[in-house]
Amino acid sequence: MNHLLKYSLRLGDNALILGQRMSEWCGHGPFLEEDIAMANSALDYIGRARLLYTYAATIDSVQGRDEDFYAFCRDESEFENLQICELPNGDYAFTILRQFFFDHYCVLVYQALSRLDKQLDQLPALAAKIVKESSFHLARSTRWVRRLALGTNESHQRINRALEELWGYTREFFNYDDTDQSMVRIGACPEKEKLRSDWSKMVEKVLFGVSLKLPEPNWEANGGRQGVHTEHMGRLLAEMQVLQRRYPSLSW
Amino acid sequence: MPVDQKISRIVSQIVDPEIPYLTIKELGILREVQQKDSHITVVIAPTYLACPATDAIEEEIIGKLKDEGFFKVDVLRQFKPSWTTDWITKAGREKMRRFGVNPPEMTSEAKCGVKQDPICPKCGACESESLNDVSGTVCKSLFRCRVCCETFEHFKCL
Repeated sequence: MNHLLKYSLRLGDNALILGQRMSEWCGHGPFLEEDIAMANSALDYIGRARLLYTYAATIDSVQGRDEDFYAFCRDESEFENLQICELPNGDYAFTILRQFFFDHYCVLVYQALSRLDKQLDQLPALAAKIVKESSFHLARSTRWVRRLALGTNESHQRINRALEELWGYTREFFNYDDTDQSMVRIGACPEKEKLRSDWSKMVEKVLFGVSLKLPEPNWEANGGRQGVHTEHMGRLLAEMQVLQRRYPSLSW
Repeated sequence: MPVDQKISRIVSQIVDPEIPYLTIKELGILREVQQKDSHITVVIAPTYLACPATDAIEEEIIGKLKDEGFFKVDVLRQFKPSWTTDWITKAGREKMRRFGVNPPEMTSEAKCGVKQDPICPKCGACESESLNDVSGTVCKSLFRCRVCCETFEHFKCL
């Protein structure tokens, strides 16, 4: 599989798997307006997955693949999303902090891709739109992080706990492999050290501003890009894919 | 070949199912209609990538033209240049206000950094508080006017 195809599928996988997790909040949000906001953001993620997969299908050497194939007919080891996307939602502090980390990551990654003007067909134009949408998401998740960190003792404790649990997973953002490196070479992906320093700078500014301390970096998630996932991934896929698996080529 | 007036009229009168008082022309979604003999191509610019209305609009275009006897219709989606709220027409903005939604500011105004509260479409006051970043649809956010206390939607600037 060529690097560009692999890379676009990874972007699609991140968007789909996180979107699927976010959609689990639908009907369970902390209050009505927030429930609607979270479900709408989930829709953004799933929408971007559809377009990224549709793009991938145009460069896949296997004919006849489409968005539904990539979403519903691949096995766990073929999904190359980062593990942070597949983790169960936890409490709202965990969900929000994950969004905050991931929104920052998206803005930086898609910004690089959007700058590739005359190459890769529609991909840079899609990326430019994704940057705009992610900036909205980021403003929202940042406000929530502040609100929880500065709220009650309970909310502060919860977001602190989420920070401890999630930090190791954010390290995977910067675990580049050959595919990422080859995208760096054509300018479609930020350089690893640049991404690390830009991301850290922005994230730390917000976290320090609300007296959250970064955990000791004593472990790092790794493997999502190679199709190695946490124990949660299989169950997520089982639920998401059950209809297509039970009734192949079923449609509405 | 110039486009049959009837075709242009049918297409430009189609409304966005989520904002049913605005046509796709007023929203700036409809970019171009081309005609080559009996083959019609309609170019639309999706608003948000995941906007569920895009599929509905596409079906509507094809359906409405079919009803009028035009069977060969392609709908193309244009991402570049990408849709911006600046493309919403003046008439469209006026209609939004009438239906209780504060229209978006121009992107140039948003960029210059002077943050102004959205104007209440009910009483015209410019003092409002944000209730939520996302309202019924992802393109709008929810505000409450501090003067008349009515809740209203603000169309986000994109």
